[in-house]
Amino acid sequence: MIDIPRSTAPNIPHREIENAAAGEIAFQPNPTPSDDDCEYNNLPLASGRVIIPSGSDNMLRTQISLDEQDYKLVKKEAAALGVSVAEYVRRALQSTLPPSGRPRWMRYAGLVESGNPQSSQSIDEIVYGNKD
Amino acid sequence: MATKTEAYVDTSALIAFLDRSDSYHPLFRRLFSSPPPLLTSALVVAEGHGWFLRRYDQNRAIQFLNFINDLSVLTIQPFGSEELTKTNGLVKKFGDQSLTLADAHGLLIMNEHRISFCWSTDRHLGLTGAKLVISPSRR
Repeated sequence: MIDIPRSTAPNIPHREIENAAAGEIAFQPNPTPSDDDCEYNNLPLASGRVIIPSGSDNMLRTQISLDEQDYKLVKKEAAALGVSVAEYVRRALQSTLPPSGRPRWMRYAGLVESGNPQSSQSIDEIVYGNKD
Repeated sequence: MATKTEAYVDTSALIAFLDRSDSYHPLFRRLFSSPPPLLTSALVVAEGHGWFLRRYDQNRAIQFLNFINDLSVLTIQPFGSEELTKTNGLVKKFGDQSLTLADAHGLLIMNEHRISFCWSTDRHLGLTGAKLVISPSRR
């Protein structure tokens, strides 16, 4: 069981807490319904990071660290798009992650449609040419 | 935990996976979705690239190389003078089979790495006893 100090889950609405000096973006959880809520009593720990589930929007809260230059760029780009830093990071992740957690190479399955059902058995004719 | 037995991958398996018209495409799509460690020859990569270059264009050929690059479970065995000498012997041994150097290098790799499973639609790759994944008993 991972015990999270209550101070890390204050009764504030979900929001980003940005610490420019540290270059960190902390995503704080939504308030717990009550002190008896067991939401924080069995939290998964991934690579030393606490992942905090939220009951209201089907999101997991986590924390990332950025260097100062990247942080400033992210903040600037997010502002230009009119979205939060969190939303900007989510969009950036979605553009790079393979769909449905499939291996990266599966995106190439069926890359071409030759029209030849014997395609894989006639490679030599294409590569080396037909014998006369 | 048991690990999957490694398999040798021939050009035909790569093309069957990449060409959705191929009759073996569904089989290789399924196999590549959860593959064991795979081995292939540098000549197979060259053949695959050549197939896309001849059949399509430079862009498709580059996409093929990107696919190979992304296929992180694949180990590519180099082909040098030592391999040329050894494959030369195999080409002569199976002189009636029109073996390409890529085929011969595949047979050599399977023999040297004691690989008994081969992902291929080319019967040549079964000449030395490897079980082809398209064989009825393996499907």
